Amino acid sequence: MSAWIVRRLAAAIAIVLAAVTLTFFLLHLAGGSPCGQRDVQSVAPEVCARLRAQFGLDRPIWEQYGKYLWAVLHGDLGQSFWQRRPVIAALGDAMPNTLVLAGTALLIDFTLGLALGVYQAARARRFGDIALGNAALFVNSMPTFWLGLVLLLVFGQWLHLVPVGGTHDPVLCARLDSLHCVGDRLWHLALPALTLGLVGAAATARYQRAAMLEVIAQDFVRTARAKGLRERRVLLVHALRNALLPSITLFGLAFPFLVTGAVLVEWVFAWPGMGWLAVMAIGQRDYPVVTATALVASGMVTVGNLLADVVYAAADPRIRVRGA
Amino acid sequence: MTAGTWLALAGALVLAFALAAETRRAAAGPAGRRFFRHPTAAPGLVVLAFFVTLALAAPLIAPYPSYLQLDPVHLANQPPSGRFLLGTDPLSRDVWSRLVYGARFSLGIGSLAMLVAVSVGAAVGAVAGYFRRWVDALLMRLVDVGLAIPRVFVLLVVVALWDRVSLPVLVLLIGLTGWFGTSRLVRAEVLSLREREFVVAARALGGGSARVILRHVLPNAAAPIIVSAALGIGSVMLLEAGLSFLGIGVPSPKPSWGNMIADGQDRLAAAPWTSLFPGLAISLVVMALNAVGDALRDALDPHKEAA
Amino acid sequence: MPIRPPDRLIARLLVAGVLLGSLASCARRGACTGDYCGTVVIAAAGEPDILLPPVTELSTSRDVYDQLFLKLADLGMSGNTIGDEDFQPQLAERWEWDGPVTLVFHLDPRARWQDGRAVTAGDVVFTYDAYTDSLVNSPFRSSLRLISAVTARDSLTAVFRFRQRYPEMFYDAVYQMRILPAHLLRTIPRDQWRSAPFGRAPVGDGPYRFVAWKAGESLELAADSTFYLGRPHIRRVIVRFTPNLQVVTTQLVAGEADVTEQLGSPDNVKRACAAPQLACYPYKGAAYGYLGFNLATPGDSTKPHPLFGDRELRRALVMAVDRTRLLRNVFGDFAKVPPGPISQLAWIWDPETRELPHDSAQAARLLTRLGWIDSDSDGVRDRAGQKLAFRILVPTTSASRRLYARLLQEQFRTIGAEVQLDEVDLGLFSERARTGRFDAVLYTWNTDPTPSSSIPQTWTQAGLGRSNHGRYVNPAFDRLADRAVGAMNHAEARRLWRTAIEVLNQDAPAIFLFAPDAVAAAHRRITDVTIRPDSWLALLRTWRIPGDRLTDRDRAER
Repeated sequence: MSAWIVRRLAAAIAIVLAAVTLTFFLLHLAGGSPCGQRDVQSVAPEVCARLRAQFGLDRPIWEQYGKYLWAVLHGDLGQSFWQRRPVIAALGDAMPNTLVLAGTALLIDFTLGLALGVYQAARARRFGDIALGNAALFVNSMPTFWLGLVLLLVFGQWLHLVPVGGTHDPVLCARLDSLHCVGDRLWHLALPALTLGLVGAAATARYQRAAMLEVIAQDFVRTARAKGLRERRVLLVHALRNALLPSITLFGLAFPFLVTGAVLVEWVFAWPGMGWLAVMAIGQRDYPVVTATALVASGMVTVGNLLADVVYAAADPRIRVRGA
Repeated sequence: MTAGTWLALAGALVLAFALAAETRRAAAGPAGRRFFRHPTAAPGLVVLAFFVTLALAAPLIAPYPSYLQLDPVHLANQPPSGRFLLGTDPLSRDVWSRLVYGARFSLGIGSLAMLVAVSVGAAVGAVAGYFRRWVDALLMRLVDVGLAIPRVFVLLVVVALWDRVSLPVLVLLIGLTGWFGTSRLVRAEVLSLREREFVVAARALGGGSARVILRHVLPNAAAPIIVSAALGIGSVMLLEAGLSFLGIGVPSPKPSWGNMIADGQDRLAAAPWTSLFPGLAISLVVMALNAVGDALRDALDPHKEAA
Repeated sequence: MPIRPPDRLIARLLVAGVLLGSLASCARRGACTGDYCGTVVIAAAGEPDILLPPVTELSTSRDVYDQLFLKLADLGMSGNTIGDEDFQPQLAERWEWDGPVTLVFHLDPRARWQDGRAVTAGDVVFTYDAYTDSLVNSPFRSSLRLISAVTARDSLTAVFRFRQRYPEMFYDAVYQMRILPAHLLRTIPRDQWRSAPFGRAPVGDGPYRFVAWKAGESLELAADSTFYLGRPHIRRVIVRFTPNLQVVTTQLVAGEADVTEQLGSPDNVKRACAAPQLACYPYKGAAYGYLGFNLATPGDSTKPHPLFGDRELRRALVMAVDRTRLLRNVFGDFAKVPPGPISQLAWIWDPETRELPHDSAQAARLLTRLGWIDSDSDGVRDRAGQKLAFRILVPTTSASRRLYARLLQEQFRTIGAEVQLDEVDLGLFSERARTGRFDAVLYTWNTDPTPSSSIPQTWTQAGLGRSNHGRYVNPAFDRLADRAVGAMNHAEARRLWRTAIEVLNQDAPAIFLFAPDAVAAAHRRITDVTIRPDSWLALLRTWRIPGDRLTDRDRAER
């Protein structure tokens, strides 16, 4: 088991290094491109000069790459020209917000999704299942930012139930120092997390329903029923336990969705996380910040997959024996 | 809306239903039956046929050109009515016309990008599955990296560096960042196909690898390719909508469902129709694509019973 | 892996959490009472770039640094810029004329920098030196061109000498310059002022102190209780940056913000003024917006622009635009079309000023005559292989300018010009405009109370490389502007300005699009809201929240 974990870890590190190499390649390509000319696919003028200064394009490429790699590994991701401070500082401010949002969305995603999936499986092919299934399909097909806009319009602007942006009240709760402020933060978190969570839950519900149906058809469930156990116990204890396994892989798939969805949802809700940072930086053509967010996003996805794999292996003894 | 355009709209609807019905009739075999067993498959086909008709016959169906500002003083932000089916946007452009022409951009970009993605993905997957060993290992590691970097961030980095990315380049980039999943599916299919008799026979008969892949392996691996194409168009459409919403996708005045949502943002409370309808359109089309994709997966590959 | 249903362990954790939380809520709620409490949240569209006065022309930066730095004297509410009677002492407690071109200021000995040091005449000399230094390249340098020297007679006396006598001498001496701390800025090389850390955490002598700046989110100021001109009543000022004015209005209506400078669109005005807790304050708009052409090649100021270097082409483009209709769409009844580069605040506003008419037929004929014809029938005119195509630079923070950009796109399309939009964030927009990297730019100026400083700064030779982004130079216009500045009375000045603006209009360096009415909104609990049209927050330190109207927000400690 531990050998397998080490191998997966090494693979994860290799992936992140490859992502770093890719961003270097893009930056180098841009640095060598025509700069700021009209009508040509050219680099933004303010970007050009900075790229050339940063990379010293007269040095051999291996040296540039080495320098870049060294800097990234030391956490030196460059200087943001928009914020006039190190990129790592800007990321440090933004990351906790994204983690909170993604974590809450993940929670909503899985609790709602699992519950829905189990309910749908119990009511398979009856009205409840079909209605919910179509609703889930619809929600899963919506652009998340559009759902966010609509929810913000209804609950924020029309009904004034939730605040219209930010993570907290800047006056009363600049510091998290009371229960009231915890509530304030939760209130600000509600709508963005719900937006992300709902769309994810729709996908989770579909998977979970399918997995449950597959498990229910199996022999051991029939045995449990034959033993005279109550239907609810059969479903929740015996079937669900085994149907959870595919959902763990879904957990790994959820990470790319959350990290990507966070970009637009954070923007719509003015939630100052990593995605919001990336969009603000785009508006300023602040490439160090944008490339740094791309790297962090890749890191998050890789870690998510790694976690999912580890949990799955821990849950399913068959994997451990077989090896990856 | 003139009489002509009402007729054209009705015609598009009728055509959509007719196409779906005809498909149902024609697909009488076991695969077809499996396809239509899904209750959402037929409605999905209708929706898709309708929107594709809209896109293709846009000049006939749309009462106004998409860029035309009819009367910025008096006709801006009008609610839906007989004259303007879905209302007008803040620039007094007919939302329905823009929706119809926007179908061209949104569906077109979706299809083209998906074409690129599927081609590259199928090629890579086939090569990896066929040649195995180090070729396979190398390509699959590449795929792992590709899957780890979220697509939207790659596109953001490109925009941050190159400032204005022209539409064709954008479509190409979206395609080139989306082939990884397809390649895995195709590889799996090819791995199982490669030991089948007809492939072994083709190789024994002296066929070059490329020839064998193209003429024997890939056509039989078509199922996962088609399914991932159907599902992939949906994700590209959502991606393009997001980029256009942020202002880095389809540029003004060309309509795309994403930038229409952005146009209506400032007047969302007072005039929600500008943003509401394009979002609904995207949702419907992606929903239809998902439904059809699921049904196709069932129809073409009965082992993989999903639901 | 079995699942445990919620059990006693979780219940215990929840109880513990609630207990801890309620203990924590015993944290300071703040006990401020009386007339000097009050927290005001200002909702601003867009973010300041840097808080060092000489190097930035962004009005959001100015609104903030005006609370941190003092001028020698400030304009009175009458807005009269002629002579010195209507000015209020600030850093200078009194002044006198020592001859026709010599002005002597006596600084208030109570004035202190926030690090404790006294404000001296040496600071005044240093400030003048910085504002006129070509390394700093201040946009306001041109307004100071008629001052020949500033010297310190002693530590509390500063002497200004002018090149000639003219009506607004006093105004020029005091209005533009915010006095800077020499002891803190002397060590910073002048060409690095734009990126100096001081600009992100300034130290001033004004009624407010800088506290914190969270990039992209908010900026905080705190009142200086020892401020010698009177302790500010509002204890904390928080500026929240928002993406656009619609969000600003929503925040105001929802009670998440208290004040804003300008509601912008008629929709926003309707929504905000209907909210029961808000009061609306209309005032004379000091802004005008225009589409400025770049007369030089973007990025290379020595070469003329391939399109806009041609005066006739510019004139054709101006005539193609129906400015009144566009205005109605964007602003409804809340703005006027300016007859030149002036705002509604300008006393030289003359609707009889001759401008180019709106005549798209004539515009089309003119273009054809210049050789621009659609040879390949793609809807876009071309000439010698070059398309009549250009890009408009717009900031994403201004919803009205984004609308204008799209409206203009369509107007130009109908006469065969292809326009694409460059929509970038405010900071980058400002930098690109400043460095001339644009074809056409949708710019908005908050003008000074008198045209003699704002117009030359933007439209004459003196503004080149600073605020004259389009690099428009017409010696005839410069001469007329100089004469207008030196005119001895209002009537003569008005006549001269009108002639000058007519000359400028014929050259068509820009399409002057809108001069909006300004409507500010503030929460009703804030009283004594005095808004000076040229600088809406200038009198912030006199605003009050009476002790009996304090809310939890007001009392909260930092």
